[in-house]
Amino acid sequence: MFGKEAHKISDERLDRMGRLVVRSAASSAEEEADAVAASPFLYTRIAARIEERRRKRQDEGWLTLLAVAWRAVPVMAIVAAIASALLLWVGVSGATSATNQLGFEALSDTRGTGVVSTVLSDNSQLSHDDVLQIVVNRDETESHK
Amino acid sequence: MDTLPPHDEPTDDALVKLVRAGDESAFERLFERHRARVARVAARFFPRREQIEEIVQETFVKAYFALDSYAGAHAASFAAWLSQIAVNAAYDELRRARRRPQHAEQSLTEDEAQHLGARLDRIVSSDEDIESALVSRDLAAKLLARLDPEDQLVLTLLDAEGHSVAEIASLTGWSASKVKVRAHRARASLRRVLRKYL
Repeated sequence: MFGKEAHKISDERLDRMGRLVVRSAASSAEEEADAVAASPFLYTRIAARIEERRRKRQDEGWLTLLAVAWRAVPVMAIVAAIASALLLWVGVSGATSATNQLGFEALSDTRGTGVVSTVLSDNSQLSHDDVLQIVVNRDETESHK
Repeated sequence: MDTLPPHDEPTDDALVKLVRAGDESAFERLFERHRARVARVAARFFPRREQIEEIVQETFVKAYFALDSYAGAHAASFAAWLSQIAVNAAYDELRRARRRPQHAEQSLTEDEAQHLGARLDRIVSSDEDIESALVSRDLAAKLLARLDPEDQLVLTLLDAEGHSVAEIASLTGWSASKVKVRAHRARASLRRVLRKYL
């Protein structure tokens, strides 16, 4: 009963056969199941497997940590190098501006609004003597008048 | 019923709490209560004793490590939760078995194919009552092994275990519509397999 004839059998009938096959495959399962459930040392084997899995998980935990560290070290090194470079660069440029600022503050006179402030406001490289000379000259000029 | 403890016995949920607190012997008591149930679930899918034991072991190991995710509220729920793990363990094993090279050896021998063909032929031609017909367990298992693991799972749960679509959805974690579609495809696949021997 091959070929076309096989197709004549209704799907419904084939489904019933299919159910029979499924039920047959699962038949007398209770006997086998009970035999397995009653087998001695079953729990001992389960406990051993639990222990083994637990150890494996712990090892995997360490390995994961190592893997993270392995990947993190180069990244951290790069970040540290960039941070050092930035620190150096900021340090050098900061020192230059700090020198200028110190000179400016030392020479400026916040109490007066006269020549000294005007002269120093353009950040010129006048020495203390120059400033003193300018002030003295101005006083002399005024006294001659 | 292996899940209902006597009145003086702690409930499943109480034992779970004890295991969580570090009492390993409480897990052994849970095992004693539920091992027969888990073995029966496994035996629906696998005919050989070593396969059934493998599923039982794997189910309890998985349950042990997943106890923190168990949120039981009533006495029967631990059994249902464990059955869910057992079904999933069986499904995983069905998939693994399909990938193994030995799976090819599970195909029917010529004698078996002839026997099955004659058996089915007689059922069809004589209009014999299908339900009363007998097919050996090994032969039936070999036929089922020709289906996808998902098909085997859904057909076994539907026809051998007698679960509803909703129950299968709950056991497998699939949606109800996926179970229906899968069942439809599984029946079509099994029809194709059977036609080969008719």
